[in-house]
Amino acid sequence: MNLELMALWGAIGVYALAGSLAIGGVVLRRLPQRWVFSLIVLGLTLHGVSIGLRWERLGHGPFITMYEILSSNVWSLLAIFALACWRLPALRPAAAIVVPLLFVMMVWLVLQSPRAGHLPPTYNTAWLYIHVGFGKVFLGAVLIAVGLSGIVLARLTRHGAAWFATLPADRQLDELAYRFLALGLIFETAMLLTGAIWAQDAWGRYWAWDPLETWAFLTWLLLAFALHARSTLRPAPPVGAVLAIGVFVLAFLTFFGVPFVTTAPHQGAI
Amino acid sequence: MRTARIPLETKPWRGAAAQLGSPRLTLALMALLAVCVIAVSRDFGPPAWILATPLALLAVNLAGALSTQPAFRTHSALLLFHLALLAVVALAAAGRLTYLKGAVELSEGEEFGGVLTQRESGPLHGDVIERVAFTNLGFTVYYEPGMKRAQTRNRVAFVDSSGAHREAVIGDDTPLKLSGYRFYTTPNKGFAPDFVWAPALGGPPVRGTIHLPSFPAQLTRQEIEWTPPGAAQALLTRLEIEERIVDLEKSWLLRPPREHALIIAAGREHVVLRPGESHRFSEGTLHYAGLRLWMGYSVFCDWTLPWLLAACALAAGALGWHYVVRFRREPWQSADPGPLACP
Ligand code: HEM
Repeated sequence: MNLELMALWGAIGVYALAGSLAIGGVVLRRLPQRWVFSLIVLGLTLHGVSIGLRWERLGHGPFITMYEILSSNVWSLLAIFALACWRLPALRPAAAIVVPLLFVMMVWLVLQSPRAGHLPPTYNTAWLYIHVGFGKVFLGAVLIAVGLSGIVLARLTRHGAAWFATLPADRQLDELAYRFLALGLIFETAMLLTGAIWAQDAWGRYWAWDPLETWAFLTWLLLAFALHARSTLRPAPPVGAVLAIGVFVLAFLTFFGVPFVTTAPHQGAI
Repeated sequence: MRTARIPLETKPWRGAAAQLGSPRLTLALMALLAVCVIAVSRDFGPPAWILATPLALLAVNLAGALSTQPAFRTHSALLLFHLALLAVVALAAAGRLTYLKGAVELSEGEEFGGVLTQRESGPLHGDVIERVAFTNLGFTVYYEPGMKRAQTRNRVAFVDSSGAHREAVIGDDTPLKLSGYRFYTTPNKGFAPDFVWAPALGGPPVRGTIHLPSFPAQLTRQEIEWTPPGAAQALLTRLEIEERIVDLEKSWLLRPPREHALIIAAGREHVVLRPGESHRFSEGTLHYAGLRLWMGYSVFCDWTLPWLLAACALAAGALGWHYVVRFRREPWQSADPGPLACP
């Protein structure tokens, strides 16, 4: 096994340990927050080495194959989560929900072939980095909202209420989740805008309702709907939590489902 | 005489505006827009018409809310964000009325004279494409192993807005921009046999190219039927490539094959022509001058592009500003979202 793959497997092992520790800590009600956080940072470092080595070897960033896209998103989502935990320590227990959620992507990642893909000529532009960067922050923000929403929903059960008893009240977690959704909307708006600029250059049209554009717009609309519903209907925290999870599910399917099930021009590598 | 002042709230227009601007209606209309977007993606009809209805209703709803909802009076960045959204919808509609989308194919050395082979445009498109001219000076397309298309570099010559003759290299994500029209190279390109046709009944010889099907997409179908100017009988022309110009294992550069022949069928008569050779058919003499390349261009024109960009950037910026101001004012720990309406 080469260094690139070894570093990736090492990172996944460390993430698994961090996730297990976070879950164990919540269940045993003794949160080893420092350990979880340090392990996530160690995993990110190893994972970053793996992505960096591959970037150096292929001469392009992790944007083309499913393997690269999953790998870079696991990295960016955890990096954004770690950054948010660093600034807002109240978020740390959400690791028990966020890290296991990312296990799904990690399992999917290890099932992918690490073969190199073809970099289309239209990917040779700064818009790629800007557009993808905004998309990653958007998804990261919504993931954090999901972590907080997961806690609100878990607390509807007896066990969940006991596990997460020391955290702030539901309304406050709901408010925090809402703020991350709002951050998500700003970045998703910027992602759609820069995507349209790039599409104009690359394909001669800024918007054509291809499947990826359609579902990205629907995600944007659902996010706007969720924020509006919040100020209009004032839903209880569990209802707000379900809306936030709905936005994440739709965004997830748009990011990782649509480009790989259609042959439209927006597909990953044409 | 003293006149009683009518409180604002009781003015009839205000009641109507408040109803039109109802936030619950916004939620319903957002759901309607989602359904319409799905309908567009399923090809249920022209996107412009299906989307116009929910967008127009949302615009009316927003106009009502702008004049009645207190949130817009107290949060100017939120107001700016929604106004920018209105501007985006208005500009997109203006763009649909005035845009042009088209395609044209040009052989190497050929000048674009303002005529498109395919076009669709909004009803208010003010055509100036007839006055646009440029020449395709030739191009290269690189392929990577596995028949993966890489860079396209196309040299073009044109006259700029100051009347000066200029040359540029376009390709992939770099269009040629002339009088508001953007010309993009496309993957649609191929070989163009260059002929001179001299009619048997006299008259001046005519020189021109025909465009064989796209290459390498139609690698195995390099033939086309065409009729020389003024003739009645069609000529079926097939290109026989006699050397290896496509390599699946290595990188390669698209170029016309040096070793090749054209097989031309006129009824039962079959002729093989190589560059520089001629043949006399019943209606005239066909001289084959050689093989060139042709490039397919897509053409796009929409004057709203920079304005749309500005309105979207304003929307994103205003939204960010709104949230920064709002979240700075109240720490999340002290948040109380008010009475709960749902269980
Ligand atoms: C699809 C387009 C729209 C988007 C993306 C959008 C987005 C937003 C966002 C992000 C907020 C801030 C919510 C918050 O405080 O977190 C907001 C607030 C608001 N929007 Fe919209 N909006 C749209 C259309 C409309 C329309 C058509 C109306 C007309 C009624 C409207 C009325 C309002 C009002 C009144 C508020 C203030 C709510 C409050 O804080 O009390 N919006 N909108």
